[in-house]
Amino acid sequence: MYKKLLGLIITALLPVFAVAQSQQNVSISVSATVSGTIEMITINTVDFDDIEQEGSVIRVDPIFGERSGKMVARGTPNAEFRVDYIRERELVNLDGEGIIFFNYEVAGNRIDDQETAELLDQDIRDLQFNEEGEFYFWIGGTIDMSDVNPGSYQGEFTIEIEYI
Amino acid sequence: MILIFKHIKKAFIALLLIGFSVNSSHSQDIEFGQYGTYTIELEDIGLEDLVFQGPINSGSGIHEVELIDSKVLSIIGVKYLDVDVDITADGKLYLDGDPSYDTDPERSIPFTLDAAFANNGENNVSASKPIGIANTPSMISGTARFPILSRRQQPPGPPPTPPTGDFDQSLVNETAYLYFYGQIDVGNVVAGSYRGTITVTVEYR
Repeated sequence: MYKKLLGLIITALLPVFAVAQSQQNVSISVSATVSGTIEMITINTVDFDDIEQEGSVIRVDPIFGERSGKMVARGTPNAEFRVDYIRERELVNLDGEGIIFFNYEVAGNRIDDQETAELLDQDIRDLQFNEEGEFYFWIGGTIDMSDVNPGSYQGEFTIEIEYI
Repeated sequence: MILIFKHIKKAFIALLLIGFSVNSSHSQDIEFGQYGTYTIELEDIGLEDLVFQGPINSGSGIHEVELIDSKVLSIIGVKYLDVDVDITADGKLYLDGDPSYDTDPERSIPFTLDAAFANNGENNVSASKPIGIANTPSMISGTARFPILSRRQQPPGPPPTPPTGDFDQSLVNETAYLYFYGQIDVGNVVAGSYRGTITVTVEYR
């Protein structure tokens, strides 16, 4: 009788162990990219000393001008970033009265080659660091010298870079 | 007398057996999936993984993927049947996906997973119901059980036709949806790519 009972219980349990369920797995990747800081290094400043003047306007070409300023931005390799800069800045006369306006022109390139740089002439541009995490800028611009007091003028150039 | 006793003993054992079988069955919960060969499919919808969009800077704190932007999986199976969904993941994203950074707070980012499901036949987060997820720093886990197609407070329909040579499961299939979203808490970590994995298993109840 007990053997029968045991047999019944085992029979009752069998389907539980003989399960053949259909089962599916999927793996989902979760990701986030943490950007590092961006460093801006000035390599050359814009050089207007003894520049030849055509009419009242002095111009330094950011792509073909030898006198253009040069900066390099260092950030996260291959990361995209946005750049913005103020087009017109005031330069003040260190020797006396008078201000002049400098209209900036900026060119950029992922490689250290000025002549193949692209003029960044839109208000905000989306760009990308190269594989070494670098991006190069050349800075030029124009100054209207038609109504300028003699003196030494100085101002600053501000370029904003942020990761997208 | 001995004969009567034997009968009583048999009756007693029979009663015991009935009692045992009543206790071991859970109301009328019939697990059809155990006896059939119904298939179930779990598919990845959309190309992108669960990505926390940038810019994410070191020390910037909470970043969130909301329910509306969830990573979506679809479950295709017999609409009458219940499925068990099992979800596991590491409680952190690791720099370059390397779990050996588990104890390195500069190379790991705490991750909190949220999940939901929709079983009304539509891929629609507004009709989704949350799945309870236990989030701990070391492990994320959660389970859910629901019919592929909600019964909407109605009694369950007829059991599915047992699979035979003439059975066409596609006629009784429906699609349910799983949604995955959540948060990361970015501390002072080194720059780079952080990754983790969520493993999702579905099977018929």
